[in-house]
Amino acid sequence: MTPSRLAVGLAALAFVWLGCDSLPGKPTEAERYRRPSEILDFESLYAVNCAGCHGSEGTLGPARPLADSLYLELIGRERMGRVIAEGVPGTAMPTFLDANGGTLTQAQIDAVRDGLFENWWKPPTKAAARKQLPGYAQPAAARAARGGDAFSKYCADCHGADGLGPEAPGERKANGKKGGAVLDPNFLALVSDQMLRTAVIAGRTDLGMPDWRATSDGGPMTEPEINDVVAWMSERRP
Amino acid sequence: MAESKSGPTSGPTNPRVVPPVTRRDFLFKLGLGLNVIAASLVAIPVVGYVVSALFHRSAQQAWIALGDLDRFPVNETRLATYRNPFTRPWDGVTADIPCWVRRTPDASGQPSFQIFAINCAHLGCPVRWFPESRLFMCPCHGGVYYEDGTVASGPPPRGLYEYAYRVKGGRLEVQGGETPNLAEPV
Amino acid sequence: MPGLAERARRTFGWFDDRLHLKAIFDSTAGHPIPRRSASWWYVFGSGTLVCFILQIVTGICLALVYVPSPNEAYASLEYLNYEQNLGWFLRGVHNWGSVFMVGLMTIHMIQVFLFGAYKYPRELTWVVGCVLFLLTLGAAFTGQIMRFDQDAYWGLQIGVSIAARIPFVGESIVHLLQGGPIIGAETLSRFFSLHVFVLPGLLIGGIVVHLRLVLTRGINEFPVEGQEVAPETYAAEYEELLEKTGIRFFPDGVDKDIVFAALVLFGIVGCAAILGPPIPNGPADPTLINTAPRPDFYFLSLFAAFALMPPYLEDFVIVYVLPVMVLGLFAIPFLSNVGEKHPRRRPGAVIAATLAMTTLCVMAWEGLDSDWSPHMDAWSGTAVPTHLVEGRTPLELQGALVLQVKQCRNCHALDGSGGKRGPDLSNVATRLTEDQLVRQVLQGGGNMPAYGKNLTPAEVTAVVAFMRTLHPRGQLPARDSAPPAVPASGTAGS
Repeated sequence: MTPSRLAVGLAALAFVWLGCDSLPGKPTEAERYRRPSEILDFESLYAVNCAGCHGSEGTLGPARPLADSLYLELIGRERMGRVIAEGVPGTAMPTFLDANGGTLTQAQIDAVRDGLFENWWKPPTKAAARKQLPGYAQPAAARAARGGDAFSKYCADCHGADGLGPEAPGERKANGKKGGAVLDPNFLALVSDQMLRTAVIAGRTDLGMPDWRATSDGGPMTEPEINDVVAWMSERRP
Repeated sequence: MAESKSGPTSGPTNPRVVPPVTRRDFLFKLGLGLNVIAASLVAIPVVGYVVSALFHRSAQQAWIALGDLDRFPVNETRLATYRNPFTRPWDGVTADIPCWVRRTPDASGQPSFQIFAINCAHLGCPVRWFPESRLFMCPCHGGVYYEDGTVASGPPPRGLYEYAYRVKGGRLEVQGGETPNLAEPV
Repeated sequence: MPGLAERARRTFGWFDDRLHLKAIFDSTAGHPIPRRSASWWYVFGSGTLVCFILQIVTGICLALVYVPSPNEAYASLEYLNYEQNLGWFLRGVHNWGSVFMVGLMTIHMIQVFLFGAYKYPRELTWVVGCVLFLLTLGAAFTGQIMRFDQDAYWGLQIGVSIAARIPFVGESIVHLLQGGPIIGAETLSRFFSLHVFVLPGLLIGGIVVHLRLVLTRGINEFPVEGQEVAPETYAAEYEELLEKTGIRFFPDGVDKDIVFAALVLFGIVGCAAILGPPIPNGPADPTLINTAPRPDFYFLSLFAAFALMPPYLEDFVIVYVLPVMVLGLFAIPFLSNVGEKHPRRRPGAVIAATLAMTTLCVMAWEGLDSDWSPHMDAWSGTAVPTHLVEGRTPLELQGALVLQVKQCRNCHALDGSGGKRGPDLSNVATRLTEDQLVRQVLQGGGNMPAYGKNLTPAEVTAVVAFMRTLHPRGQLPARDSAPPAVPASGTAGS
């Protein structure tokens, strides 16, 4: 056997060998099992733990949209991590940290939190816009008595003067331009004041509810008005 | 075969010889007897070796610490894991046994618990606790249990298996060692 | 100097003189068969044997690397899968070899049944064949255990739980299977020795008897309509058939078997190369409870049976029905020993085989979907379809949240996504009135837990309000047929 033939033979063998190694049935590293606690990529974690309520794209779920830069700006990274870990007692938000009886490790919660901000948070374009943003937490100094006026001024146009939504069910348009019954006692019983405040400030833009700057009255609500209307709504809770 | 051909006169076919107990007969019977004894000498230990798993029944339960009491908040159900005490060095992770610990409101000053086996009473699959709906669900055939372990729906013939527990020195201890099933529900 | 052929002949002669190879070969592979029995219908038995030999070869190769100890089994399996050169391929061949073996054996059995080949004088051949069938299923089950991943661990747990339901001896069987108080070190060793020593050994012995019976009583003649089997005349008839149309199995009647054997090997290697081996789904760690065990395909129909039968029947089925079914299989040649063989004259047999296979396939298909299993992550991972979110009131949105967070979606689908254990709720408003919805949520029933203790009144109101919106556009939700005693003033319920 001449050296050239030997070389051709070896090349053919190597080809077959490589061919074996790239067959479609060969298990890939991607298919390899990973323990649940080792899954640290945002997409997988979000798809299994968050998409059910917050929507698979971060919008149009029954719970607050997370693909909402304004909301992410409002809550901030640190608080977001805490909400995921501890949940919000009394509401539908469950606790996720394993030490609290949830299913995720702290590292996974950090990954979800960071992923939310990386994917859906854009820094405010103007420094001024950031300053305008009302505070996240509801202050104790709110005056509930004045909240009724603020509600009539900013909210009643969509949510009805009594806060029970448009009279006939058909009046509420499918595109959500008309708001629903936010003073329904059962609704109020199921949500926290913080949820109300967040909704007033950040809106639910995916369902047509504007944020605090673009109310039906045209102008932004002032921070005291926001405080008052949330306190007033809270008082309507049975 | 070859022998019977070579010696036709030595067999019992010869009518004049009354067949006494020949040496060959004796050796054959002796061999048979010896082999019966030898076979049982081998077989008894073999069978005993194989079925030994059926015995040593009493030593298969022990008290194992699950952790400090404050690991288990009142009115919550948490997953706890213990190392099975009856283990071989090469058992690996299979000897890490999970269980659900439910702490109920303290009765007369004593902390009180329910400790459920992970295994569904239907066919042994691992049930998962959902704190939101306060239900245990089984991923195999859809058995569902309430938080106190009673059957809520699905095929399980009984509630979740419960381990005995005790509180010793501020720590919760569980009596475990054996996987429960319908034949031996703990 | 003699020629090469002459030298070979002489060497063979030397061995043949001592080993009687030619005589053995003539009386086995060279046995006469009726010409019509060299048929494509008769290739499945030899195909099964080809699979078995392949299993032995690949099994020995895998055992070179595999470690049958719970501490290392899974790691050595992953090593085979991802690191050992071509280890994945051998795993694939071994896996698909077993799939083909069980499949071909089943086809072989059906063919034998339909052709009446089990009748006089081949009853024992059938009985030994049934033993081989059970042994092969045993090898398949123990083989699944060798993977020692989560499916293997929980499959074992299910097997043990089934055994535990047998009255009186259940407990002892459990201890024998486990070899200890839990599934652990000795369990895997037990199943390993079953899988690599006991079952293959018994299989080899069974195959020898099975083939020996084929030689002593001949291969079944191709059935002819109107020709009845009678024990008094059968032997003479078969003898006559051999004299008239007999050919030697080797080399005259083996052609189709050889072609089929090659096709089987191509099929197995092709499946291994293209579909690959099953990916082990996590170590046998009982603390990893985020698992949804599924059996390999051979046991999918059994898995489905346990899910679908009413719970009160389960013990009865384990203790009586399964053993009676197995005994029935063994008893077939004794129940119908004589008479017609041709399937066209045995409509009952055809119907029975068709029914049995249809049931098995449908059950396996159901097992593959396993709609009875809750989707454990659906509540947090399966989104509410966006068109059911848009245009809903705040309360209805909270209701949709309740439906997610209280794990309803684990069993109930919306628009086809979510668990399938309970009914799809996409059109639930057209089926149940508001009162009926409230009652169903609070009291459960129809295989649904009662949520009365686990929901606040506001949550019930919200989730029912949401479900009242679940009806097709233009179709009104269900309402009570009786008008309310006091006409509602203003707006109606919802």
